[in-house]
Amino acid sequence: MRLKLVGTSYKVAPVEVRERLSLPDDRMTAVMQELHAQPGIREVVLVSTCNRVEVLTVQVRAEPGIVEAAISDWSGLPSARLDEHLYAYDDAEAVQHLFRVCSSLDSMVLGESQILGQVKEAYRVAAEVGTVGPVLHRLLHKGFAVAKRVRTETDIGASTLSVARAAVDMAGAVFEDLHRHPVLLLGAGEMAELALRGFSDRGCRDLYVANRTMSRAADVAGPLNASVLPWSRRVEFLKKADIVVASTGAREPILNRADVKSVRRARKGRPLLLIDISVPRNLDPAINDLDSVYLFDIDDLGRVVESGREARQREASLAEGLVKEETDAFGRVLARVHVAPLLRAVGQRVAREGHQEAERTLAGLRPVLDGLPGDAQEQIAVALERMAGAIAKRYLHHPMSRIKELGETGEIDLLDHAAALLGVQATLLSVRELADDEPVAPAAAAADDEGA
Amino acid sequence: MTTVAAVLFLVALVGYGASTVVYALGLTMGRASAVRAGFYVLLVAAVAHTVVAILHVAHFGRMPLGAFSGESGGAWDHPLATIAWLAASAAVVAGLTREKVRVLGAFLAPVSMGLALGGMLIGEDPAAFLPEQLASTWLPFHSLSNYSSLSFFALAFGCGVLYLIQSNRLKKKKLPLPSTDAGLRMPSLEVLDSLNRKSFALGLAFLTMGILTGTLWAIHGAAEGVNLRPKVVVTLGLWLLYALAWQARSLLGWGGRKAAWIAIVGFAGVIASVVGVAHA
Repeated sequence: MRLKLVGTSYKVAPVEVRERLSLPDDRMTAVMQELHAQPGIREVVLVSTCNRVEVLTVQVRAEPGIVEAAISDWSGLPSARLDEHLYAYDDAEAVQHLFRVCSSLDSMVLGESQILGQVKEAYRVAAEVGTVGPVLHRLLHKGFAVAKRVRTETDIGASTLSVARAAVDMAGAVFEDLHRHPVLLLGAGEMAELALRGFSDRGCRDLYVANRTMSRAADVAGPLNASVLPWSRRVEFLKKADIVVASTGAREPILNRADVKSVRRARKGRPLLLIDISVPRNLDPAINDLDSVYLFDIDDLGRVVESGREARQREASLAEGLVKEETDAFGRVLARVHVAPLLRAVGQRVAREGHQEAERTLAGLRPVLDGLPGDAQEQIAVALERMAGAIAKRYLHHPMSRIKELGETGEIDLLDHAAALLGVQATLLSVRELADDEPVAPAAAAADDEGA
Repeated sequence: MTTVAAVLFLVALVGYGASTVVYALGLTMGRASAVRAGFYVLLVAAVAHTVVAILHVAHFGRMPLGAFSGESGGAWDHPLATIAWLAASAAVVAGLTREKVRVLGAFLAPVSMGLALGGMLIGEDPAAFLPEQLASTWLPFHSLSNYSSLSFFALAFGCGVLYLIQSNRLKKKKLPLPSTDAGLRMPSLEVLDSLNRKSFALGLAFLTMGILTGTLWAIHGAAEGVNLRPKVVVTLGLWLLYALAWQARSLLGWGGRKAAWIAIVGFAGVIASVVGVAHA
């Protein structure tokens, strides 16, 4: 059995290649089912987002390049062109890659949370159409758990990565429930619009836009259901607004210290947050000297963004350690999955043949045994069975230990040979038959114990 | 009982100290996990101290406020130790109610440790001895009201300290800002101001009840024997100041930094009245 991940992402493929590879939802199901029907493909999950397309398969003696060929088919890109944009990972590397993807360590925006939802959705679809089996069930659930662990134990998603988000975070340091606080936007440029959208996304509904050109203010206000204010009312409106974002092309301050001071009494001690994202600055820096008034400019926001980026990088190295640890642990689980059917088959075969051999011996001894009392005959039969079992177990002790070692190191080929030599090759690779908590037959359990 | 209570009080004392250290590490490193750990250490300490208080009340039939009359308990049987317990408990209850304010323990754990140690250093107050006949029905209500007010003033104090720290960091643009520190989410100024306002209001309400029940206590037979007159005068003075501060907040909008300073000075005044007046 081989776990194989073939795919591409923003790291290795430009957007024009990625858009050819990406699949609409309705085609994803069909592609997964077609791949699943291919000989040697036991399980399939396909993840398709704007930044990556990845096919995760469990293969058993599948034809090499089968997934790459399928990708070439649906994208219409020739293999020669596709090869330079594809990566392929096997077994432990595939596990590690998947865990990194789920944990957003491979994302364009480190620590973003969207990718986990996309992988979950891909898994849900695959489970619905029946292309996932025990290995991918386990692997993906583990991937989701690893992502959760990374989120819980590191702060990879905690810091700020855009100026608009930084402005909202600044507001969060002063006000708890942003939706209860009126936000006034002075100006109607692109940055202003982004900032206002940031507040709107955080639930702010009491939004106002003031601009020298009213029609432009209305353009910005419209999509966000904000109200438009006459430019001349901006100072008076400071009595009501708790958050002010300034972003105009003015060369002179549009609010000075005296303006803000004039409304302080009316504000009755309510804090006022002013965010100036214009260059040159629109708000007089002396405003920050006033009590309960907090002013930040574009450089302050920039520092927040920069520190957020650094913080995420620091957290990412912690997260990489967690992913490596989980990959190793999962590798051991997979190895156990590999050899369990073989051990079970060998155990069953030994038990069966030992029993048959004891029966044959008893039959040969029948003339002698007939002269003995019934109890003695019974005791001899039991002793013979035990001896046959003990000889087989003793003889198999070393091979069984070796098989487990091979399973842990993933030596599939040697395991294949071992299975052939022991005459049970058919069961080694029947991963599909495995259920998560499948009970092990008593004979196999005995063989396992011997081999441990 | 005394041995168990002594051991638990020691646990509480060590817990307050350990919590202070862990909180300090958490705040220095900006680690939410360390702040969480500091809170849980404080929780254990507060629970241990609570058990001490329960054992004390069960054994002596009175609050652990020093031996006003009869047999004295251990080191925990002191007004300052009880204020320490109330301050820690207030931080724990606030933190359990609202996760974001668990960081308040960082300022109340050292206060609790200081008060508990202070109580041990000062020792028993002979001036506080109360003749048996003065222990009327109103005394427990009076004590309970006054000490309940202290737990709220302690919480307001914690909010005030954190408000000033947060506000200064914002003013001086010390980045990353508290709310964006990696891992450590500090409560917003709004939350701190709101908790400060509520705590202060409740503290004032309980203090008012304390004064009323104290008056009833005095009327019902204690007037002649009460030798705590300076304390009564100081308490009335503090109540007047708090009431004025509350009015200023309501009418003039004295919130934010002013309210934070009022809470800090107010709690310091309460402690000073307990320590200073009793030993004057």
